[in-house]
Amino acid sequence: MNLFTITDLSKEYGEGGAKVSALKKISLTIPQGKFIVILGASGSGKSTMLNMLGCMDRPTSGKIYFNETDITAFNKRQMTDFRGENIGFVFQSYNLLPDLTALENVEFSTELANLSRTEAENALNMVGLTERVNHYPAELSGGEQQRVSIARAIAKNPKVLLADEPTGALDFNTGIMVLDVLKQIHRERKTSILFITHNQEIAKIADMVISLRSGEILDMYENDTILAPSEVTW
Amino acid sequence: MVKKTTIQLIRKKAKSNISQLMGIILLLSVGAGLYITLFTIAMRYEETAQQYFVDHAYANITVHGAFDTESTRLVAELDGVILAQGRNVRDFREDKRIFRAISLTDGINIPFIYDGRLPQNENEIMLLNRTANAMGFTLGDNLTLGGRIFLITGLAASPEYIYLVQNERNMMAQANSFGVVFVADGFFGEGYNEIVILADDGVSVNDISEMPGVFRVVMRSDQISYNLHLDDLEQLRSFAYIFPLVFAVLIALVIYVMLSRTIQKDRKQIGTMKALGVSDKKIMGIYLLQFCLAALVGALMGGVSSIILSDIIINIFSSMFEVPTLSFFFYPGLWLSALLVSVLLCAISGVIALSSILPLLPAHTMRPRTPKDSKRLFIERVSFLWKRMSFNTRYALKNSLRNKGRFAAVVLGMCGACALLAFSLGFNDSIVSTRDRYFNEFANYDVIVSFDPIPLAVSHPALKRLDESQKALVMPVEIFGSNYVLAIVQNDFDMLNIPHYALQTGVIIPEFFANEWGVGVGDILQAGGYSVIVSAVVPQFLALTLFTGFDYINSISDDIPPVYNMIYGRSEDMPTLIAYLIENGIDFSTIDDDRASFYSVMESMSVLVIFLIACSIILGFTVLYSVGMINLSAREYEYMFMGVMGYPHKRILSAHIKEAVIQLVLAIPLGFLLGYFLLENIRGEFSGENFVVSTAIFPQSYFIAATVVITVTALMALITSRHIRILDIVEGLKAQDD
Repeated sequence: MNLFTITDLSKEYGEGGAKVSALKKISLTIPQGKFIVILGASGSGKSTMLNMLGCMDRPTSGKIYFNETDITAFNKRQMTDFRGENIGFVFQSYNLLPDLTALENVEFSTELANLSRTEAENALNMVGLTERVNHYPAELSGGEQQRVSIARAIAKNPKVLLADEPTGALDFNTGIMVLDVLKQIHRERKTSILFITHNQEIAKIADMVISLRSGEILDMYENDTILAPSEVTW
Repeated sequence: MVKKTTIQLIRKKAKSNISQLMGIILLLSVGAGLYITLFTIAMRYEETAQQYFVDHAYANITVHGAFDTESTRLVAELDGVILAQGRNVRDFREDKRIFRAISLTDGINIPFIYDGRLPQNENEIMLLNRTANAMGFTLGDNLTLGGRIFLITGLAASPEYIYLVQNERNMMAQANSFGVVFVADGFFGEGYNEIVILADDGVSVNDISEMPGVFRVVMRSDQISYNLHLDDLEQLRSFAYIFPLVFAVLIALVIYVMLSRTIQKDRKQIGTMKALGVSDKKIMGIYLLQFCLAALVGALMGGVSSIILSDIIINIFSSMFEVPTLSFFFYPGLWLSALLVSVLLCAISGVIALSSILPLLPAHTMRPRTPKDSKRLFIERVSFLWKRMSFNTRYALKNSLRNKGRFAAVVLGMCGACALLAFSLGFNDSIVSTRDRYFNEFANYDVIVSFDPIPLAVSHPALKRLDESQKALVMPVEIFGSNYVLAIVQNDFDMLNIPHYALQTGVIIPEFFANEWGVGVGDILQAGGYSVIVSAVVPQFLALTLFTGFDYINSISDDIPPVYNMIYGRSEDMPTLIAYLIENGIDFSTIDDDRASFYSVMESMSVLVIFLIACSIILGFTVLYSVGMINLSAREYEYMFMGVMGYPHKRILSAHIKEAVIQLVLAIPLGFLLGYFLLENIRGEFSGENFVVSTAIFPQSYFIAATVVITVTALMALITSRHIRILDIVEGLKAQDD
């Protein structure tokens, strides 16, 4: 079953001479339950695509179907509800709320989904942060903050996890640790994961790779051999 | 239902925004405190006084003349008269003090007894409480009056003497030189010189005027004490409206800028919340709740401080006017309106500030704000000037004008603080100016002697004792249904600065009345049943009086007898003159007495002025501190970056100061203009038949207002300097990256 079906998706920024086409009539299907890497250099349109899939932005034209639902037809309120119910986000710069502790940051998400505190604690256990739950973001390392961000995203059991360069700001070892966590979530919870990166090595851990360049699909393939995070290097 | 983590988030956000929230609390506590205090006093004074008038049967009409029991009975039978009673009122001079003895009436002008009882025989008297306090009498003491000794049996207040009015010139007599005593029936002989009347709307003043023995009919609305009461009420209400309104505009402005900064700072966090699926309503709730709570706390603090302030001001007022049961009262509606307005002010400012972010989709909100298109400044086009400026100055100019909204807010904040100070100080200046213009430019007499009318041909004993003197007949005259004071004087009258030529050709009227009646020189005025020509209009500030000459009056009427009841005089030897007048029991008032009376009248206003100056300074400081912090936080990143680039602290501070100077240069003159505009507009509210305020802001007041604004801005520069010095460049830049 397809998670997303995308048809003729375009996104333009700016007007007149300053107009930039970030996505140019992209059409593709994204299957459910896969770990998918969207690969591309800066400016290739991968973050723009992720924003469209996560109802964070509207396309200029084209359609996106989530299962059978046209999410591009949503109004603002429906977009908000959709994000709250179905999507978990992990950002490159973590985007934790600085005034809340690690546990509270995760609870902020579970409360929204009317889930109990236990779900938040479980999510933090899963990313290995049991000991740091009462620390504030400023008291955590980059890797720890990113794991809190992952816990926040998965705690509400989203149907899909959208990760925008989650290892981009991390050193190699911490990056591998984050990849391990994401793979574990994918394995144990069967959550679909769309992982954006410009790092070709990371693409080797994915079930499927969608390669973008200048707003167009350059390549799309399934890995014959899927490596474990510990097997990749950059 | 608000969830636990959301509450935690609100609490913690409030903690991290504590300086802004404290600013809001302080601003609103000053604003709400001022609003509640002024309105509480105005409302309480009005209600208490009205109740006092009803409970103590304050006479609607007082009739002056010569009456007996029969004429009193006839007045009592007139339509609309509920109760009429005869009484005697007479002034006694005892050394330098004047005592007004009033015979008690039954059921009209009932005294409020603080202590003791009513006098029951001709050897007993009751004193006004303030007379007793000022002159050092207590219950059981003896008081000598007209050579007789009386026992003081009671201390009281009277609805007729809320203000201690001696006469038209001495509207607020000094309580230690003018006192009121109430005496029993037997004190005076047969007959009365006044009838006091309780009446309903059906009463006819004309019917009363036509009764035998009537010399003058004074309605309550024409009584000086009652008018002073109404004037004070009007002034309190004006202050209560105007000041909080100006404060509210300033507060709204500062809060809006403050909230905009906070929300812009949290832009990425708001984007993250939106990305997580948090609704706009909830995000709005997270921000508005903390601001509205701060508003609530501020308004409540203002309310609590108003309890103390109101009591203090009422206590001070009590020395000026006496309404026995006047005290602080809790008006729930007033408090509620202050709370609501404060919360609404914050909520609306917050909604406007949030409206720039909330409509955006999360992908846009999480990105930094797109810089606005830069345009060349006007001054940049003047290349001759622009090229000669240092980089630092050009940078300061560009910074100032880059964000026009913030720049305008800072300038308006400074301007508002300066305007409030100039206005408050100017109000005091206007009082001083009114006094000086009257006593230095208008009044030329040393003494005024009053007595019962005597023929012009008869010489009053005081005339021989004066170096220069002029006779006058001072009488009431009805114009447009109200009584005014008309002074008929000799053609060469120079005791007041009025044009002599106009005395022979018509009536000279004060400028205030000319504006009120809509008449000018050459117009015909109906005065006391006669058509008179307005021959001149003169600026007059105190004891507003119409003037005309004996010759002119004789030319239009045969009814006015050739008598005089007042002498304006000058003397080189005032002490001897005063001693003579006292010794001979002649009623008089010196220009010093009149000046003292003016001070007393103005004293109640001075209390308000001091209060307003204090509030202006507090608000000025708060506004300037807030806009200073806004200026600083808006520049923080740039200053850090300048530090990274190797700019020395001095040059960074210099750029900041230059920006503040540009703002000050614009704000201070605008503040002066706004202050004068406010003063000029409020002037009418403080002018009446008793005095007219002359608008003036003295140079020293402008100087003080500007100095306060500059000083606070300089203090802010010092805080900024310290802040720039301790900026953690690396952490700051990291935070900006995040």
